[in-house]
Amino acid sequence: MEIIEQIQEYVVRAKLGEHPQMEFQLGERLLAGSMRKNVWINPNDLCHVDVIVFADDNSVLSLESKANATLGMWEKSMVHLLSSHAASAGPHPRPCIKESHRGVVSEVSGDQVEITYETPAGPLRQIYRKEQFDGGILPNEGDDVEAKVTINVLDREPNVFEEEFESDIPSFEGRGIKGQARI
Amino acid sequence: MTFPASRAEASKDKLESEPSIKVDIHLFHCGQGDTVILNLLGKKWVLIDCNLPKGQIRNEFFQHVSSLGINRLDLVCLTHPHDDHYTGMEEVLRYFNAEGRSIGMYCVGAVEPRLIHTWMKRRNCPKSSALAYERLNKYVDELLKSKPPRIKLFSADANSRPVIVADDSGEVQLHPIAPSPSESRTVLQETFLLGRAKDKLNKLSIVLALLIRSKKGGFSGLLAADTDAVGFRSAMERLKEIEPTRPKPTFDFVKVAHHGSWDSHDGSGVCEHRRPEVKCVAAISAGRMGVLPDREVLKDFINNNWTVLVTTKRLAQGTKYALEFFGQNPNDYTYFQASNLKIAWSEDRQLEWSPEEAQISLPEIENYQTVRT
Repeated sequence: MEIIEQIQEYVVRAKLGEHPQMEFQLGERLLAGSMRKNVWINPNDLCHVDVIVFADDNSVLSLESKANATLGMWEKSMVHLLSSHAASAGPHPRPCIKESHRGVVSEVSGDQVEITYETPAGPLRQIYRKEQFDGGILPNEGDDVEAKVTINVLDREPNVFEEEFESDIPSFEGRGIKGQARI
Repeated sequence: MTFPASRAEASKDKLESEPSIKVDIHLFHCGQGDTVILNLLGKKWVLIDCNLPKGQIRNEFFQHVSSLGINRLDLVCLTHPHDDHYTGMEEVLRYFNAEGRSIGMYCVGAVEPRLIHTWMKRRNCPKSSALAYERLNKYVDELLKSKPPRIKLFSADANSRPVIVADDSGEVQLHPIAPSPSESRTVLQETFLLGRAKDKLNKLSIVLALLIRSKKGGFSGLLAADTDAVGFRSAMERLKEIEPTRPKPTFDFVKVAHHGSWDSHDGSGVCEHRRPEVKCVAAISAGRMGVLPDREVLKDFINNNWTVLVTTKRLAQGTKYALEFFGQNPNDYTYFQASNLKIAWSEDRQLEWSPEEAQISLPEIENYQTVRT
């Protein structure tokens, strides 16, 4: 079963609806989430489903609180994932970088959004498209934003095709000019 | 009293009537990589490497080419198969094979591109880089197979004969002096046959000596690509064989190896190869990831009385952030100043360069980082 199909199945089981607002895969853990619930699933143990309910009533938690709770769960899972990897791999955890950059929506033009991040080295502008935003909902000019960058080194999955790959670029051998080259 | 003036006039007229050998070297600011254009004897154009990602940089390059009035590239050289040296090269070849423009010769290293491409894919190089390399070589093959061939192939290593440009004014030699065939064989065996994962392609860099000898003096330039210290020393030994009358090669101009990385610089002794009696220029292009050139390399050149020019000058101290990897255009980074460098030599005027603001001073090197420990 494809991962996306697995997620959809799990989401249905968790009664989140067919279109979760977030989908992540962290190692062997899958996350599907909506504004009300997060569902953590271990594909190797289908009985092991964690459902985190933010609130019974949507009005109880603010959007910001839900976002913070989601990010909290994300970070907690990352810590768990990294520590489990560290435990299985010995004393050296795998390389990982986490960065956080504050910025502001400097311009919204049609379907494009320019965000300017302030870094100690100076402003850094990035352009995003509408389809990159959840639900296609664009922020407003002047909104504060934060980019979280996480870089993990992944296990390289064995890929038989790549290992057996032979280039079909024709040979250049013997096709070069002989003797003195003049231009 | 008018006699000396008249004699001066006559002498000036004589000089103006005699053709003068001249060479222009353009380092196009292309972000992080090499794009070097040579104009030899005022009429032959050579492109050595290019890093022209789609978008602003590539558009600016074609505008630059147009402003220089280039309709034919007499020689295109890919020094080694790293994507900061061949990105956009297919598009350059296509541009010069259209609308009356043309290309003369295409120069590559002696290792077969299909071996390199196989290694790229097996080693999990970025897909876009491997695809661009594949497309470039297939297009070169297409040009070679067309009837009549629309391009000539020149496989170069240190044993190759020089590319010569000559006319009534004199002769210019563009002489491959590295990699040595033995070094290429070692890389071939370790990398491609044994399948070692470590990238040693810099060792395959074609290093070119630009040599002019004339009655009024001469010019020696070095285009060091991304060669390492071993490759550099090997290149100097080869140059001694080519010019046995000069026991130690010296240069008016050096395009510094590997974007001024410390690893390539350390142990190369490049700073000692300065021509002592004249002002000499070392030009450095920015390296991948923006951390090059290395501060200690800049310092070494300046302390050895080289005039150091950089295509991309750091205006402030910067710390590396992963987010920077998302950008491709140095103009987006307001703490960089990008310049197209021009270094011009002629018998009459000797060495000139522009723009002045591309020259880097000792205090400015504090904006750069170093890996020297």
